[in-house]
Amino acid sequence: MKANRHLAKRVSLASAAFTALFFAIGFIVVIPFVWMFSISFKTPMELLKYPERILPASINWSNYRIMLAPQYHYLQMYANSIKVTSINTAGSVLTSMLSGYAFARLRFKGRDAIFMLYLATLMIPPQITIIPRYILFDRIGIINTHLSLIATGIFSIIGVFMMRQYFLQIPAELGESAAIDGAGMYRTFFQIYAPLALPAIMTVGILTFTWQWNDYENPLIFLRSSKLFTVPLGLAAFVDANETRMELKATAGALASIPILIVFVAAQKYFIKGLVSGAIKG
Amino acid sequence: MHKAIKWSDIKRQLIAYTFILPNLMGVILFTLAPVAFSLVISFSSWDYVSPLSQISFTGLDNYMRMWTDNWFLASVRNNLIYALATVPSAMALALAFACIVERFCKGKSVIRLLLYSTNIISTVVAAYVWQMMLSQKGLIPSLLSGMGIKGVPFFLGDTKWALWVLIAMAVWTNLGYIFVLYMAGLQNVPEELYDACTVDGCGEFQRFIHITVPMIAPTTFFILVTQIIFSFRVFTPVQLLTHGGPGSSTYMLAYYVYVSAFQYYEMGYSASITWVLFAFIFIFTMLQWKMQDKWVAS
Repeated sequence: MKANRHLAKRVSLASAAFTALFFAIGFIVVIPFVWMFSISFKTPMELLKYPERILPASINWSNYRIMLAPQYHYLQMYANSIKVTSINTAGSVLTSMLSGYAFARLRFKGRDAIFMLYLATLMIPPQITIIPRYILFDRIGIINTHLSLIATGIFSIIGVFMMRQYFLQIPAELGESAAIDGAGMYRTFFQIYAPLALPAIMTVGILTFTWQWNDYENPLIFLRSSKLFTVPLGLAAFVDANETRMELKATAGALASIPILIVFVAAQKYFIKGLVSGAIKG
Repeated sequence: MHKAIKWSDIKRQLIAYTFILPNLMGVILFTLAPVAFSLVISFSSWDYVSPLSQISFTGLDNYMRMWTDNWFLASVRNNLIYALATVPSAMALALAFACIVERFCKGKSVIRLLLYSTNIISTVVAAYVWQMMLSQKGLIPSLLSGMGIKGVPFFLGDTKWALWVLIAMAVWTNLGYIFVLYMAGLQNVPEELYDACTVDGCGEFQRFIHITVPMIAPTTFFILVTQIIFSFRVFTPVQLLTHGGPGSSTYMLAYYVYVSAFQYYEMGYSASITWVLFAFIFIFTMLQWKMQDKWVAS
């Protein structure tokens, strides 16, 4: 009994110590971002002070006003990113849902072979396909249009996997009873299965949103005109052109991160679920 | 009667195909066909400007030439160092963190949120924050000289340091992601196993070796395979922070592919390098599959 109490005390002490330690580690890990947001509120004068303070003396919005002024096209970039990201997210969710459901619950010739093929493509690095895609897009004249990002962006193989995984967990009898009622296959899907898959839809949607919003490689290769740039590409162009304006670079970075941070904090559990469902089941 | 059933079955199958059709079209058009095309042009010399009909096939020339190309050899060397330094250290740290946090810490979701945030924010933003932190008047040099260290190098401009900056940044980026996966893996380990181990007189270390490690082996395997694949695809930090420099000290395969295709327009040569990149990924993945039988208890 006494030994138990001793142990409990030791564990709660360890618990307090480790909790403090890991909050500290967590804070150190995010310091770069804290620092970035902090600089975005500083004036150029404040930046010259030494030693540097992590937090700004006062919240000063002038950098944000400068960055959002028309000359830096930030609002245009936001609009471009929102357009491409939302079309691609909606598209991948829809195409992944349909395929994931078919691979999980419908019977057709070659189903398992096609699914194996999907599995195999996951090992192919995107670099292999990017040159042929560039050539193809150039031939059909969609280089330097948002269509070049959308054409490939609305398909997600990972999304198909996650959806298939989810539909496998939904009892097959549901669909069978609908089939006896004579409901068409699409009706069965949209009226019975799709509403039940809402958690998976959220997960695939949020992960796709994040990847699409942050994508840098595809816009870098397929877009030329700055008025078409998405946020990451525009940010890179801005930073290259304004090497010395630290406070503006930080503000541009902060502006690029805010939408994703909002989505992340609001939908944390879907992020975690999505990552884990890909990994643990495998 | 028999015929009617068969007909309705065919109809069902045809409708089933329409479910996968949109996605399958995408896969064929933007993955499978490009893969075939890429393989074909990897045996050719093509500058992109001249028409495709005048493409000249050069057999294995591209694949031979790369082994005497110092930029390519540097890319292979750096990429191997990068993968072998990044993946094990991020995994070891994340596993240690996850074991301690899972067992002892309160406020797990806050810790998870903080650690994982580096994975959420765009690599472009992360790269520029690192660049600013490492610049002459940035956070890190001032911190180091504040601690009395003399002659702090300009890390990104130093051939000895630049690759290690990219490695450190990759560990920082991936740590939280791996941590989340390990936390989930640990939650699936039945408590009774630990209890049984304690009854048998296990210490902390034995608990870890005899219960935790074998039980989370499938998670470890998944992380290892995917992280190795990702580390052979690294592009954005190289492009934004170092452009492969100074010299060739941070050239890596995916970056060299980009440079040779879209700056020098050597499409055939670049395609052949993507196949070597694929070969590396393939070999590493197969090796891990082979090893999996040995260390993943099913």
